[in-house]
Amino acid sequence: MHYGLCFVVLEDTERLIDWGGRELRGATTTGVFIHKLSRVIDRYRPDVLVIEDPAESPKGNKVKDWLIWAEEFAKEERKIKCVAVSQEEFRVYTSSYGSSKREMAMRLARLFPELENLVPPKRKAWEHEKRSMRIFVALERALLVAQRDSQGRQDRAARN
Amino acid sequence: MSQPLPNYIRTFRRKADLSQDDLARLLGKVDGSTALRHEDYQRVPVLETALRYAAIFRTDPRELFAGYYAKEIEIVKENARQLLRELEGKPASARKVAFLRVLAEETDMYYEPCEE
Repeated sequence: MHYGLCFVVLEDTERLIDWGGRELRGATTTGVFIHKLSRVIDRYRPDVLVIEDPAESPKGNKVKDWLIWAEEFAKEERKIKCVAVSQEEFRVYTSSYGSSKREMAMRLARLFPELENLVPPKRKAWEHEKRSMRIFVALERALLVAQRDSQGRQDRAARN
Repeated sequence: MSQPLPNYIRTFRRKADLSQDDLARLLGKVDGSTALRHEDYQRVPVLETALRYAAIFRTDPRELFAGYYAKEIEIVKENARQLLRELEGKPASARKVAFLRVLAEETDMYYEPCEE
């Protein structure tokens, strides 16, 4: 079994600063995960860390533990706001734009052409999802939170 | 990020799909280690190299080195305030005082991400 850690760094939601991924294999995956994530956070000092909601994640316990660790690390040790996006909210948001993940990736690559070469080819039914798709998922999740925040600000302004 | 990064070399390099060695070649360096140190904020490039980066990515150095630039602005502003304090009660041209006041109070000099 192997796992992956993928990230995107956005500035003002329109500017893609960095992106990447790391395959995590073997017994040292947790150590590598912690090292890699803390390195990205310390390099970019983000205002917000967006992660998949561990409470509703369909993933295994190991990944859920990592997500919980990431949330605690951001909040407690780096004083960074952490926002968890549930699988359901992500599904609803994505499906409002298109039916498949590949369509999502193609749409995001139009917004961020530097990711064009990461759009995976159409997947056969028996094939696993390409690892690069995780970068698009991370990006979509970040944009979802940005849109939600922006909507919240507009609603508050309209009330006042 | 509420503060600009010290530099955006990595972002521009990755957008251009260049490796660190490619970048080193364009800079006229032997290998990618210098570019890596610049990218990782371990070293501040000298003026000549900074201008080469700007030439390679065809961008304004103030955008490419936004964090460094913001830091220098703060230093210049503080120096201008200091100079104004020293000029108080002394004869000084109105033009010079006006210039220093703009420099000391200028807020437009802060970093703003440029449109690409």
